[in-house]
Amino acid sequence: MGALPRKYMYIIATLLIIILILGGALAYYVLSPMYTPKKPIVIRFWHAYNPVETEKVAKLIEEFMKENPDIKVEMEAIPYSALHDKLITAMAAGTAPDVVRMDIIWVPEFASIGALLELDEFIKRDNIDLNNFFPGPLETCKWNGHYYGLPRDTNTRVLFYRKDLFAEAGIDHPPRTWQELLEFAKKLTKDKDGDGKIDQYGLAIGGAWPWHFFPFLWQNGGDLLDKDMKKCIINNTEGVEALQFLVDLIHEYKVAEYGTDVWRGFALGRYAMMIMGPWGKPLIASVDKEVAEKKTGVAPLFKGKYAASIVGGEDIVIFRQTKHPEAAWKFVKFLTSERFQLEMFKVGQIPVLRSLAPKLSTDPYYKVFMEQLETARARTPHPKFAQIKEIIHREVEAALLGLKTPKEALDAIAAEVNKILGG
Amino acid sequence: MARSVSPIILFLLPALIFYFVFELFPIFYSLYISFFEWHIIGDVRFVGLENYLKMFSDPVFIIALKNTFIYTIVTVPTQIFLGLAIALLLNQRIKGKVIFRALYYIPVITSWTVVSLIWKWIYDPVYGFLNYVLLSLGVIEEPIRWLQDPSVALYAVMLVTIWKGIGWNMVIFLAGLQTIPQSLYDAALIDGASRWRRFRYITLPLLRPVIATVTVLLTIGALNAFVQIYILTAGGPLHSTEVINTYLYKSAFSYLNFGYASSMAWFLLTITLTISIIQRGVLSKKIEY
Repeated sequence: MGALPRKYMYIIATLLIIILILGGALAYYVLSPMYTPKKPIVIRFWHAYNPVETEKVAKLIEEFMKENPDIKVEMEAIPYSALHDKLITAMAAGTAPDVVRMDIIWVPEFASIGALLELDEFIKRDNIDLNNFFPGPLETCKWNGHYYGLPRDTNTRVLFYRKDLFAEAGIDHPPRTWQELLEFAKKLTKDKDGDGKIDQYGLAIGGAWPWHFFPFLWQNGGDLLDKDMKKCIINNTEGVEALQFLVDLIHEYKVAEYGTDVWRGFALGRYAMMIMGPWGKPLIASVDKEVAEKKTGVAPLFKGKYAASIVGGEDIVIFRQTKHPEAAWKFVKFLTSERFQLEMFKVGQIPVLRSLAPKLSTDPYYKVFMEQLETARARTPHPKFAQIKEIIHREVEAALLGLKTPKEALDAIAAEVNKILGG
Repeated sequence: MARSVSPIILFLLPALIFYFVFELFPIFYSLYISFFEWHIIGDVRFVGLENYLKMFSDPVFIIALKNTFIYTIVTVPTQIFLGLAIALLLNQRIKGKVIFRALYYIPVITSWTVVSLIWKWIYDPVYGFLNYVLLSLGVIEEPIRWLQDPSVALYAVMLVTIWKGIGWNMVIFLAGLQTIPQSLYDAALIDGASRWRRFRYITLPLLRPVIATVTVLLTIGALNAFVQIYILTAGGPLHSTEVINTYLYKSAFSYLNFGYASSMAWFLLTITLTISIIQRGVLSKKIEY
């Protein structure tokens, strides 16, 4: 710094800052009236749509903005795994988005901490016909008797099976009961190259989350909580039997494998059956198009004592921190409209409107999901579900890996969940 | 002097503002939060030291604390030992040493996320590379569930840390080795000192400050390990890879218990500081030629 006297440095620095500030201000005042005659309301919309869906959503939002020039929607696609934590952080910082498409299972959690805007009055004022929504998805928007969202899309898990492997084993229909499931799985489990190791399993068990375990639990008559939601009953006889059945498939009969990314194994012929949502087919196609198109069959899940599967999907909610509830509500109505739902169905998102049901049943693939939705149940709405689901995963996984007996694992879940319910 | 300080501060001001807003303020705000029951929005309740006392009756926290120490005690010495060994090898006149240096350094400049995802695939019980190799060679009979078996998972995670860390250690030690005057070795050679004695009485003592620095930095890194563990196992199975950071992250972002999480963070900071100060005291003695 030797050449320039300090005095000048000081002046230059000050001048630079002044120029920057003045320049910015000047540009703002000169340019902004030119480009924005009337400042539109900005609605920030966060979602976890996949890239294909996001492209479609972007196009539809363009149309919405053309029809509503006073509203500007800024959407942000956030990976599913990051969305929950990002919402928490944004809320803490007071910068929560206005509208969010969130997993149905998060709604009670966010509603219970007062993060969401109650929609009852909007629904009443605008005569929204709630009966036009499927009851399962609609129920997920409710917390403490109030609506905090509207359903956006729904899904459920059905049985995917390899038609070619079934034919090879001489089986002519997908299993309809647990007995058939076991019997068929035995026939479909093979050591193809004779090295003493199994290289084709009857069934893949794709995880240990409630999402994977609860269909079996419900099919056997068990549940997470009792009717009053005061006590955890997952470790009753029905619950233990259900988990024992899964554990036996893996360890006793050795006809099922517990693994991750099971769709890969399904596409490669390692698994003859798996249980998955409507995104199953595109995933299989990403490995092997021919298997997805010609060799994959879908059917409603086998029954235990009862028929049951699990409801997934997303709801649209408005965050209470929003400064423009009216504009946000207008956008929510658009996202749940028949037109938006039908367009999104083209990229694999199952609509939640009764009025669209006839259109869905024409596709043989989606017809199975629609049929399954009749018996699909929602996970217990509980504000602490994020924590409960971690406990269930930890213990059910331990049982599936043979580290604990089903009884031990479920007792541990009940003990911890009861503690959460009590405190 | 006063005249010369003011322009410096002016130039530093933007950076300082960022530092205060995004670093210092959150750090001390978390200290404040740690005395409250704090769930983002809704009621905030002052609970005094309750969050701090709760830790020691929380079985998961005790497991996390134990795992954090095991992780540190295993990964730090192993990285130093292997890093130094490779540095010594590459400090000699061997063919292609530039290529080797680059190869060992590639994991270091690769982001933790990428490294963790690659290793997640390597460890996959069904499609993973490691099981494939071991099964093909007949080393193991049954596939090992590297990240799902509680008796193996922590070691599997530590192996990734060591694998990624060796290159960094190597570079620091190589730099340290370059500063040792060749004349010392020449003199020792004339005196007939063996290879081992030259290492023991010249290299090792003169590398002491480097080893001290590396030990302190690695220990801080190990106590604060998060990304690799969160991606590889998220603390599972059965908390067998749970460390303080993964548990405090879950407490904050999954269970919305920010007060408790903040108290864990400050506890971890206290441990890290204490250990670093002790290490510096013990390891940094003056060297005399």
